Amino acid sequence: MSKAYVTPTERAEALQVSLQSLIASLGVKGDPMQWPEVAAALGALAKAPSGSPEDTQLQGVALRAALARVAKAKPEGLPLAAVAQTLGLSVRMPWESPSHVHLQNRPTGGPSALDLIVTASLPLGEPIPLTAEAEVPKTPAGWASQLSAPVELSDKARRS
Amino acid sequence: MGHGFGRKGRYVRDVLVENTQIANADLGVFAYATADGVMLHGNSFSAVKSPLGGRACRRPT
Repeated sequence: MSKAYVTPTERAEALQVSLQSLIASLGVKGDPMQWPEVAAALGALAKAPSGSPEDTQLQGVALRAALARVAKAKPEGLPLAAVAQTLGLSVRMPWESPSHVHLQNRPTGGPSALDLIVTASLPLGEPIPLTAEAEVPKTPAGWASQLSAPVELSDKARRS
Repeated sequence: MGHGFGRKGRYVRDVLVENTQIANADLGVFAYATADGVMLHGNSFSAVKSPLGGRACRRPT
């Protein structure tokens, strides 16, 4: 055995609890186990050998099915903080972002662009359509912000 | 050095996490990629946002 071994049953239960926690935190009614497509994937996951390709694929199936339900229930979008842990999402500002240079070299201010990189660390099996939109709810005095258009996330990022 | 803590080798090996109950938490069991030989069995989770975390848990081999 190397790294970690989680029994298939436990892995399926963990994903189920994670999904239940997610939809509860989003205020979405229902139980993932009552959603046939999710329940089927979790049931199959509980029987799949841990670490097998089938295991990874079924996790993706369950996640995507649950996400589809959640997206339908919350068409206005989901806050990153609510879904970050379940989906392994993280957001960061790259060092090469023009904002870094502008903040240091423009004492009198001026327009700049804030680049954000959103990454997902969970294997979803196949690409899912995700769109990210950033907003600045409160800016310091004298600052102004302008929202960019929603950006579709690419699945072309390096998989490590 | 410029390489953080200069990690070398494995920090933890041969760990059994068994029959625990984890509830009302953001994170359940988290195993860093440097952990080697972690076995989870018979644990139960309730209202945990991320029951299994860390690369070791997510990518068993």
